[in-house]
Amino acid sequence: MARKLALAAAAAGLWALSGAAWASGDGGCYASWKLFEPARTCFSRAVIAPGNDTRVNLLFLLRGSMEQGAGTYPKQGWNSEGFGQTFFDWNQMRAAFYPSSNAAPADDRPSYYGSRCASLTAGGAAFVAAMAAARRLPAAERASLVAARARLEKVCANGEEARYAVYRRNAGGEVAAVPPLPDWPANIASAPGKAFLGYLQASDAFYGERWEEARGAFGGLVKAPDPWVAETASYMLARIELNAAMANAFDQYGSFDGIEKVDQQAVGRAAAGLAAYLKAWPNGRYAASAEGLKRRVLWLSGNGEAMAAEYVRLLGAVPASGESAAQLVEEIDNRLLFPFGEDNTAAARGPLLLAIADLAQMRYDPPAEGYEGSSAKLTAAALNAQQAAFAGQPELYGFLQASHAFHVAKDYRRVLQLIPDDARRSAYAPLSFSRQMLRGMALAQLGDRNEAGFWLELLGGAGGLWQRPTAELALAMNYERSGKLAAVFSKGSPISDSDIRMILLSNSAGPDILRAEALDRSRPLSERTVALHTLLSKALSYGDYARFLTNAAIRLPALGADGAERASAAAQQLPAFVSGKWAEDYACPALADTARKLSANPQDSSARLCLGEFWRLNDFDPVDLGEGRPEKDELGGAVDDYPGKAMTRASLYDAVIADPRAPAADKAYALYRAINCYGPSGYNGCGGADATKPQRRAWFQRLKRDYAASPWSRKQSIYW
Amino acid sequence: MVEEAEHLLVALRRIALALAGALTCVLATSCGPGEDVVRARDHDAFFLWAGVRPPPVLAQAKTIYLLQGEVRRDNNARIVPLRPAVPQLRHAAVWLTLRVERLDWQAGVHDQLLRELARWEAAGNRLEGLQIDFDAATKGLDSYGAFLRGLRRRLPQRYRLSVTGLMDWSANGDPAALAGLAGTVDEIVIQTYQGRETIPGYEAYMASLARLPLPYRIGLVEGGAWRAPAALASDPEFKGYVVFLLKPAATSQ
Repeated sequence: MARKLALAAAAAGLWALSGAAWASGDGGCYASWKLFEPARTCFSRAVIAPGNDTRVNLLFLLRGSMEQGAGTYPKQGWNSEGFGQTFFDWNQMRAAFYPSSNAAPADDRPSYYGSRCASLTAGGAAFVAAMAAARRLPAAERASLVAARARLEKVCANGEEARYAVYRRNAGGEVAAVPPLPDWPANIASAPGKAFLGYLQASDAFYGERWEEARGAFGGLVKAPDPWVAETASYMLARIELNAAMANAFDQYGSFDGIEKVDQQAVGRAAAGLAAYLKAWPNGRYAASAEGLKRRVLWLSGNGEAMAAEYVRLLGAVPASGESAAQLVEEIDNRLLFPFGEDNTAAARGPLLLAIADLAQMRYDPPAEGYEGSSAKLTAAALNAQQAAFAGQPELYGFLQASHAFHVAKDYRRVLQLIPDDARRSAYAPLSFSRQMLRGMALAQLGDRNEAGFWLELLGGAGGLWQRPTAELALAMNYERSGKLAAVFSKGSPISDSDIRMILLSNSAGPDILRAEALDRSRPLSERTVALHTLLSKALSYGDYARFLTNAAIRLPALGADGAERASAAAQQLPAFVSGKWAEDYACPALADTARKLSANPQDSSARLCLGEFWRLNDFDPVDLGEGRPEKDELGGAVDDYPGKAMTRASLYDAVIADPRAPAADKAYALYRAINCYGPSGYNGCGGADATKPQRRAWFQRLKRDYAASPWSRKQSIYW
Repeated sequence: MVEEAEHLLVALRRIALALAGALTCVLATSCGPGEDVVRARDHDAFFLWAGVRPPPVLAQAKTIYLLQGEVRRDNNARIVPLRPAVPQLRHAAVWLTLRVERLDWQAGVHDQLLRELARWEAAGNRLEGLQIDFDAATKGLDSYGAFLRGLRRRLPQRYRLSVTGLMDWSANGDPAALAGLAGTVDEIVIQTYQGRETIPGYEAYMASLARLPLPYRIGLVEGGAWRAPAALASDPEFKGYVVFLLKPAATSQ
């Protein structure tokens, strides 16, 4: 089957219709750390759900009862996007379940991948083997023919240059003619020799995209005396027609212009050609490929019904353990359900595809500020009407009903009725795991007091890829929201996922947990680095200066290249507390001295300005620290156990500007810095609420009027 | 003082113009005061992704970035082509855009890429060059720079090299790494969107655009929100916008 699909793609010179169509509007994709959301997201979760990529959902369903321990997490490099081991995209899923796919088959030509020349090398080997089997072919002719095949290489290598017969520039940028192709050998006299030469000449026309010529040449070889030539010619006739059918179906952008631009007469000839080939050679060397090309005929003829029926058949036949399953899923998504990115889920047939379509129809965009949102397309009545289609699949149908109740109707008690507690298994297939997750999520929505206990049980069997971190996320969110953050960081905690722990350390943990984690040698250095960085940062910004002085003496080893991506910013910045830049054009002592002064007198204007200088010169401003806190419904967004209220650079300047005891020089510098919070872009770079335009003008006028002699006043000529 | 007053006037006029030009937000997910909805018809440079039917607005394009294919995470030996035929554009300059999920390419990928560039050029397109779309994390800019230097060395000189970039680069990128990019690539297209929505809070990043030491364009998403920073128009490195075109009803997959 793998072979069938792969050959079908290569044979017809298929282009992929990628998830890139959606996957990347691009500009990155950042996971939001929560268990579900109703809109389509650029990442997927281990829970089959409306928000997931439809291909992810289908492959999970297809892998149904497979052993879920198989596969390894894709390596998270420095280019990871904060997915951790909880989120993934389609390509990562493929790489995780089918890691062998990187090994290109020996007969593949990677540099011709996706073009009709991809079959060149494999075809060459077959050609040589066929000639070796042809007893009556003279040896001299055989040698000439092997050499002559190099001409095909040239046709492929010259590619479009040959096709457009224009020019190509040599390295110096001058226009040079395409080098002429070598002549065909003149010494071919035997009947088999002529047949093989005919094959080469016909292939030359095929690779050169001269369909009419190729049609005639291969047509003349169907009755050739050599069996390999005859069979190959018969198969090639159909391939030619498929190519010819699409020859004029592309627009000036190189995009497919639609089924209506396809030459249906050629499609008809291709169908007849495939049928004729398969009748004459039912177990022939191209039979698997020809079977695959029949799907292409169905697609090109716009026969959605027949195509859907064929896909349902294939879904029942493909082994889920092989990469062909992923190829099939991708093809179904692109050709049947979302052709050209347009929703065609009405074409879904059979329980699996219907389930995928139903889930996609449960998506909606929740209303946001300035945006109305949309509602789910699938009604409960429409789903109820599908009961017969899911006969014999009660688990799947119940899951769909529960998904509708959870995501659309928000009837969480109904979810509990539809999905009984089954959290004590030793392992979970994707569907049964998704069912239990949905039950747990409903418990959470209902504020059920047994929610945490449920997750703890489910953790025991959540052994599949992404399953355990997903269940840990659920439990960690419960702990965070129920005032039990200490349970996450206690000895023997069930929350082992480093990303989850680091998110909670950065956003939610109080000073005692942060200090204990920073000192805990049993935890990875990434987590300890995040804990210490957060502790020192927050001690300063929350005005907890004594604690800063106590903990500033903690030293951790430098985080090496094997550190977690999530810890990298903290690791880079940590040395700043010890040996950062203290001053630029306003005189400041070392940070520890500044903290000592503030500890003695939090209103010390000079020390306040110096704390601001430390933040400014060492990239501690909000714009430098990246995104702010997680949303309320995300991990780390529910609580901040660090006592007090965070200051910003802006609040420090405001305080000095308003302080009647502050010396004139300090006031002038505070005004100067406050104005420059908005330069040069007009956007606030100092944190806190934006100052109004009149406020900024007032700062500027005050600096100019009251402190005209100060160097800061002289330096400042505009405001923003 | 005269100079200062002029600065002030210019600044104020820009603000006034920005406010006067504001449209009612009907599509954008997060239009704040003074933000415009990004409309394709107001622009002349576009990204056309795979699987998006070319909309009529492309007729007014002066520059088109066309996604040709991608190097996927699961295979570093090949480019998966996503555009079925070679474009044949006469009315606009074209960039061949390659989406990249990993950088450890085997040699065959370079061969395939150079062949594709040659095909596009031979088809009579005004080919500007190659654009790499890779979401390099800010921390990895150094490694990305090394990759791009290697790529630059293999590209014929007549092709320009463009990269898409994240807003985060200008804010948090190591200046040395950014300077390294400047010596290698001819432009960066800074993306202000994720998926089909403008990234909320993009304004905060705009403050740091001045840190980019090379020509840049700003990538907007059709239907997204946009408010230009006051200083943008006067930044000599700012070369205009590129609008990412969406398919009509983007509900798929």
